Amino acid sequence: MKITDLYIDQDVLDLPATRVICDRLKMPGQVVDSADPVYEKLSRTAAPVDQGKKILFLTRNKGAFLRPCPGTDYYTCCNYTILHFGTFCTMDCSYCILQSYFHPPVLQFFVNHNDMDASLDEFFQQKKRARIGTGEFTDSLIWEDIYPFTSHLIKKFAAQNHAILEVKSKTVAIDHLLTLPHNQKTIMAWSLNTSDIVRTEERRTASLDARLAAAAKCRDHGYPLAFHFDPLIIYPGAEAAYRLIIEKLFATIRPENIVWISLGTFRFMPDLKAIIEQRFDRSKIIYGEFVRGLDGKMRYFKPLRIRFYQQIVSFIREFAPHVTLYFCMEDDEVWEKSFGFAPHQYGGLPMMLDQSAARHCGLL
Amino acid sequence: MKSVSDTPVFETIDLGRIDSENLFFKISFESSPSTDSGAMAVDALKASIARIGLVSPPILKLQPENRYIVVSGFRRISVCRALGLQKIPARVMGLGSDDGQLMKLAIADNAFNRSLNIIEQATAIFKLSPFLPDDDRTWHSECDPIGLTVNPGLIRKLKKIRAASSDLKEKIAAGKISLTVGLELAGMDDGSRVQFLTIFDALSPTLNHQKEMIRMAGEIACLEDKPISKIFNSLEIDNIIKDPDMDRNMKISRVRRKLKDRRYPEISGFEKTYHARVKRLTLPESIALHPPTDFEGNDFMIQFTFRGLPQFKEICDNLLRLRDHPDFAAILEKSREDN
Repeated sequence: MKITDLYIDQDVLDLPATRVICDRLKMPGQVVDSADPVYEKLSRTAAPVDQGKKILFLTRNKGAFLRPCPGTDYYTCCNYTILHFGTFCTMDCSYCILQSYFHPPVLQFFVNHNDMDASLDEFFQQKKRARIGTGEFTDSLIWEDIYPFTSHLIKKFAAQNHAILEVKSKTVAIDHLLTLPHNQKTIMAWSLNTSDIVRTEERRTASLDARLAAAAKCRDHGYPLAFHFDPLIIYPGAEAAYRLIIEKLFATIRPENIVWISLGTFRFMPDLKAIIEQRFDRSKIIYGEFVRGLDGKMRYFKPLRIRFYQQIVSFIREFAPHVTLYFCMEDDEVWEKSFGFAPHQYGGLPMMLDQSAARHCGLL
Repeated sequence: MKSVSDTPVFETIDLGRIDSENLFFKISFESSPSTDSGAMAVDALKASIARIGLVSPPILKLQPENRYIVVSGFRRISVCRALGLQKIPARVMGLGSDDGQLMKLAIADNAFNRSLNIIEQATAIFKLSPFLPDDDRTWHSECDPIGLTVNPGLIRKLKKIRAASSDLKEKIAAGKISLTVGLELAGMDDGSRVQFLTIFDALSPTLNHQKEMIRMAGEIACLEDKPISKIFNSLEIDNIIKDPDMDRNMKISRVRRKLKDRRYPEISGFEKTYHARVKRLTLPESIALHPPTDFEGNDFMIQFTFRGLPQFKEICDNLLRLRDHPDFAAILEKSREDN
């Protein structure tokens, strides 16, 4: 993590995590009494998205640490729970929704971990099955350089039997996690894409081979695994390219080590188009055949994405006929035409995933 | 606005002593005299000066050796020369007058007599730049009193458009191309820009259609790694424009269709299949089938209108017929392949 400016909310100055991060970064932090000076600094720059990846603001999460995934009514959501511990990312993917999601986008790390632990303890006491992830508003593992946050969570989740933690990443910073007592309550997950897309659209991320090698290491240390083909991007030659990565995946990882694989074609809020055009002038991914979806996001024309999904599903099923495979935010028509069933026939998508987590992770 | 330091003096000046080639203060950007609007404007001014003389004397700045350069009134001086006048009344600013203040005077004199076109506004902003610090507040406070209503966003756009080619600037100045579209065209290679100007000139599409054509052609060019001019050639857009059997609206529609077919081949193909199927349903005009928007949702709608029981029965018969029609089933299934 290359940070050029460190801002510290006056309110968290004396918290232990703040001291650890300041020591690790070895740079003086500027103490501020609100987020305003940080936002002002960013808004004055010509390239706020680029600058926001270098400015770190240590602050308190004043809202809920645990919150439901912001799905919509029109498409089927997996009812994932987000552990909101930080925002934005140091890697730079052209399609990343975070570029337009935060105004302005800035690296924030919430250091009031006592409050977070209290939220988790309260949640665990309810003893209800849950899938909790840290990779929604940031990459789960980019913070490990400056604070061993995931290590802490892995140990915490290992001490209970009802919820799993999903650590989702495009990095391979996992060596320090391998020997932790995880009790199979942490799923290590990677986002996968074709080598063309990784090379051209995912700046500063680990290579595909490195991600698969990291997954294999985690598997060797008993971690359950998950993979996310999201966003699937349709371009000339895409089907063959995805076939290659699927072959590579199953040459490295056996299906029984995989808790689930998600699929989701590229979708984006219309505002993101101008940002991608400006920041990634060689990118062509926004020039697919998109229409406005029922949730306001641009999505590939439905017959086109159904045909694409059918191909990808058939490739995966060839190697892993029984692996739990699901769509992120698609409707029953897409499910039925691609999988041959709709989630409600199996009790709904959340239940399908809970059951898979129960099988692989020993949830009660 | 500070006043010009030197007090202006009204004098009668020998036209031979005025250097009209020095364009340092020139703000006006008229349509070329060869165009209808340019010729009409010059004729009207000529007639006015010939009949009642110069109502508003030009502003000149004194130079060494008793010569003058023009601060404001280039066209008036040119018309006076054309009318064969030897001397004209003028408002003369002294040799030591501040150029920044004179520039504001030139802009104000133009802006308060008529509205400046976009290119003139761009020229005014460009020519003011050396005299003003680069901060939004100063620009706002200095521009408002001289009749330039600009904001920081507009100033940035005007600065960009000033570098545009003269053919484009002429269209913008004449109001045929908007500033937004002009900025898009200014960033293109010469061949592509000329293609668009030809289409816009020939078809006068609405602003939205212009933007759509530029967007689709640009995206096709990016996807195919070809210049826009090659895309237009391969789509035979020229043939559409020159087709004597089509009216303007048909031509616009055909150009848009060609671009859409190339930019969105799957969607276009699907829509064509859908319309072919609907046609084969042979529904009467009283029954309309509405698919989900962009075929994304799953709800189809049938709308029918009728007068009296006989027509209602006829509609019911048609609806029943749909139940077993293979094309209707394919429509509901959103099947891509057409048999």
